[in-house]
Amino acid sequence: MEGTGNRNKWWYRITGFLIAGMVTGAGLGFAVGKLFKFGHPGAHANGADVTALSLAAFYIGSTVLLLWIASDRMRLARILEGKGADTPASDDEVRSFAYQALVMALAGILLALPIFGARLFAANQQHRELYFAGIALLFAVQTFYNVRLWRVSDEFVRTTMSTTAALTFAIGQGGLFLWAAAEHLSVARPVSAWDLLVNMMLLYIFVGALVSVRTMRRE
Amino acid sequence: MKNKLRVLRAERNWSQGELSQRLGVSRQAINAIETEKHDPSLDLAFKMAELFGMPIEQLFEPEKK
Repeated sequence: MEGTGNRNKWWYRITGFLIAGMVTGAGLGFAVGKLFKFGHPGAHANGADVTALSLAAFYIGSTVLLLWIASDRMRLARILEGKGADTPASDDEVRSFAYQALVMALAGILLALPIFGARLFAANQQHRELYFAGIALLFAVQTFYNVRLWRVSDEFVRTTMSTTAALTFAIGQGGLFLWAAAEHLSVARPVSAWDLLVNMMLLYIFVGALVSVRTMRRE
Repeated sequence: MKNKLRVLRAERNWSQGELSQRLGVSRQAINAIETEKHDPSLDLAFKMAELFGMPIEQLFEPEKK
């Protein structure tokens, strides 16, 4: 149909998604930066912390959306199949969505915890160590549900997950090598493990979106 | 890989949801196969052939390079 041809092109949808993401991210980042300084007017929120908190907000917001979708089996069916869906979502489909929501929520919480912990327990080493033990435990819980998500997923979802992971690794490895070489030659500033993690998570979300959009339904 | 999945499904008046339940995969998998975004595994291809009562070669056509 004329006039709607561009909407089916993958570049149109990716561009739209990226613009929406950038606008949302910028808004989130600004709000999070303000929240970070609340009660600590002199606090300096570094870029990695603000990015991590924005990602956390994105993950938790996505969780709420996923749970809302999964709360109605026909709504979930229409999301998965399109407007023509006439069969409610199956138990497996609801379970898969619920696991995705849980994994995403835990990812968001895990990204935020180190930032708040560093501020709350700045003066107490022992409390920071206990706090870290709690984070490690929560990470183990998230890993458990990540494995559960893999096990309940079918071949297509597993392929999507594997492709996203492989692309993230390939691109991230290249970027890491270049930065590490530049740092070693003192032409780039040293970065912390936290900086690297946050950039990797950002890359993972971007690559995941790219992979998902390319396999989205086309009418 | 080109396939006749959508045509065969339409002939039987099955939705993607119904076909996905018959094959034990997600609707996303059915949609991705129909739109040629994903090639099924051998196991799934055999299940499809058995479900539609035809050899795999009649269901799928490899792309010529």
